[in-house]
Amino acid sequence: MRPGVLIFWLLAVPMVACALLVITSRNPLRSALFLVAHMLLLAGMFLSLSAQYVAAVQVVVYAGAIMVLFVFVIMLLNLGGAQKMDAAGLGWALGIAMSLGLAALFVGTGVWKSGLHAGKATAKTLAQGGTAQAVGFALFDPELPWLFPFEVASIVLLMAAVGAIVLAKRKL
Amino acid sequence: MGAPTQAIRDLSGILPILVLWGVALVILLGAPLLRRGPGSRLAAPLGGAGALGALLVLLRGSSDGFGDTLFAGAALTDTLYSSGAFVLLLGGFLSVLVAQTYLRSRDLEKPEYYAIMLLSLSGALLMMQANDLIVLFLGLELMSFGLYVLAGFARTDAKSDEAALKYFLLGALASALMLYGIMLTYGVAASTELSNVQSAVARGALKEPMGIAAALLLVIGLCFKIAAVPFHQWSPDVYEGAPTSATAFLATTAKIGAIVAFLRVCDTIAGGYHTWLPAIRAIAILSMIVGNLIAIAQTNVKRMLAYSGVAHAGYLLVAVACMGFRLMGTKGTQASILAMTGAVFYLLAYALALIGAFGVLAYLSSRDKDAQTLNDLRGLASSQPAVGYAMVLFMLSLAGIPATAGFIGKWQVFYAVLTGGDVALAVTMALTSAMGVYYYLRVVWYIVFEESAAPKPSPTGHGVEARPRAMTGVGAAITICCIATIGLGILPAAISSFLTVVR
Amino acid sequence: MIGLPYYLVVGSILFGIGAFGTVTRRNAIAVLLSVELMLNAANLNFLAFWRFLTPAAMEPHLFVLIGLTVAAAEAAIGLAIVLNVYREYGTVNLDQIAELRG
Repeated sequence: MRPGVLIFWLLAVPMVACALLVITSRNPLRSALFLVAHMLLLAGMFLSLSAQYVAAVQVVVYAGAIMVLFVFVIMLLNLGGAQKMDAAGLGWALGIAMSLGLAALFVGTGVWKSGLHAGKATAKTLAQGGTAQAVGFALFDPELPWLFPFEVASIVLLMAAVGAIVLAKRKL
Repeated sequence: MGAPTQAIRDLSGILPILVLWGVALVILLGAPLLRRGPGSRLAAPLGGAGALGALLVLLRGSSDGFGDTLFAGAALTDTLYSSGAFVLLLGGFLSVLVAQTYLRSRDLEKPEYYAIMLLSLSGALLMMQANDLIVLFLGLELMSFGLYVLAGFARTDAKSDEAALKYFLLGALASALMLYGIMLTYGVAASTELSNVQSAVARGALKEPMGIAAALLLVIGLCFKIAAVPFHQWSPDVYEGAPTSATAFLATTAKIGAIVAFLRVCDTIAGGYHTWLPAIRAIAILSMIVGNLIAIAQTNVKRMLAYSGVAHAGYLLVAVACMGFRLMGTKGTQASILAMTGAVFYLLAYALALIGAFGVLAYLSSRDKDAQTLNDLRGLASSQPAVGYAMVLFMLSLAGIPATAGFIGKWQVFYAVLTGGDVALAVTMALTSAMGVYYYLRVVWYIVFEESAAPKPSPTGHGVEARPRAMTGVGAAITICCIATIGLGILPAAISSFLTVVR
Repeated sequence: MIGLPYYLVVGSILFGIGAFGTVTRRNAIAVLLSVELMLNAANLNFLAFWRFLTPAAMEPHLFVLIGLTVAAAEAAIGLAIVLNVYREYGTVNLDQIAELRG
């Protein structure tokens, strides 16, 4: 077995297992921690796709900052214990139907795509493509359309900060 | 090089958005001064000035540089955007007026409310200007985040919190579906820019499984936002639970932004209509029937307006369906252009009537009483004739009775779909509209013919709780909505120079 | 050789798991976590498309960054709403948060 293949399976299988544990754990804290593990494995998969910069951001921002926020709120609300909560009957049927339908649809689309290789990745493009430098140049190049969405993202974050404060701060 | 002029051209193309951002930042930075004391009276005028300023900037700058892309293809300006933005910003301004009175009477006013409103409006504008699906997604999220916060703004009111939670969870699911759809679009088109998506569709991308999945996910995501059946479950709860001024705002803003984006997306993928047109037609027909049927059973006016909003989403989807006719000969092209203009006019009429109706509810609310049931409207025509008959007018416009703006909007969409030759949609639209008249007229019945349940009005003509509020924001909003609803019903051509979509 | 379909299938499975969790879980925070799974699935597939379809284009990286920003903002607002709901209802179980009916 080639190392690339081995790495893929070593990452993919635990990643899917973690995802399953996220949605089956009765304890929300455990769900959150499995999601952190899932995200770390996902970052590994990004690395195996040679997207170094995004992999680092995934660890720092997603697995780090966002998940800490989740864990913080779970602890704050004292939801650490097991919760009895899951939907019976109709909810499960709907959920199973929906997710199986979606997964089947997308598995189908994925397999169909197997023949398609529009661009050939060379070692050079891959080595340079995923670096912070390349991402930064693409982001701030005025000849490319991405500067404007980047600025808009800052407004989205402003909205989130103001909104969260307005909603959650006890006395304003 | 010419870079500076290009930058200026780009920025002037999004000037309304910049005005909204600027005023929102002023409100946020000045919040300590605007929160209490004499400054607290300035927050609402500032918010109103933001929306109005953006509207004026839009009208002044709307002639040059049209049909161009901005920021190297991230955004664009065209007549669909400018006419949609006109309706959106007008609705935003009227919503500020409603909020000014309602928030004060419920003791909820905070300057941040107006800042969030303006930021949310900028998100909706961005959706309309997006020339790239990722920019559309960002605009959608910016708009939605504001709407979630506004729905939960009465944070010590359990119903408001519940409304925000339900809206948020379903909205988050919808945006995840949408992001997945955009990802699949990238997979088939190798780009998310609309022109590239269009050429990929022309090459047959919508015959491939991945393209089909992408189109369906985008449609579902947008249908969530406009509350079309079967993605409407959140809307009655959110409409009922959110503070009335927030309901007025989110009902109109989300619908205007999402419908204009919907028109643009479906126009882009018109080449693969056999993939998505059946889905849109089915959703439209279901929405018209289910929305009108369930609305009949409602006794809470806010819930009734939510289900009527589902029905209106159905009528608007009829216009969206017309985008699919664009490549079916000259008649079809004509139908698609008529439908764009018709949809924008419809949105204007809908926004005026809906903000007016919620404005009346806000007008009747006070510190201890939040008016929202049919009983609260009982005998309004005799106790407070002006407000009562204004509500009657708004109901007639929503029902689409001739001589109101609602009729003209409905007629334009109806005419467009007939031009396109889709008789099934046209017939459903006519029949369900007739069905809808019933529950709108029931509100009218309560207002005009039922006896007031409240204590007899005092000799001055005002009830015990009713304070003269004609001079406050909501009074102005109701007046503007009334005049515009009648004026556009009789002279629709008066505004056509702003609202006609050309290609 | 591990090609594009493998990644797309993994992404689909993650997306399906997330969708299942979103619909069936009754704990508001667990629903939020499931939505994060769905967003992650989209991110993975964006990068897989970059690696195998358009290695010269930089868009997928930027889309992932933008998607991440949106996810962060969404988490902040969502958790603030959950906090308020908990204060009023004393629970985050969606079945017990049901004053609005009709």
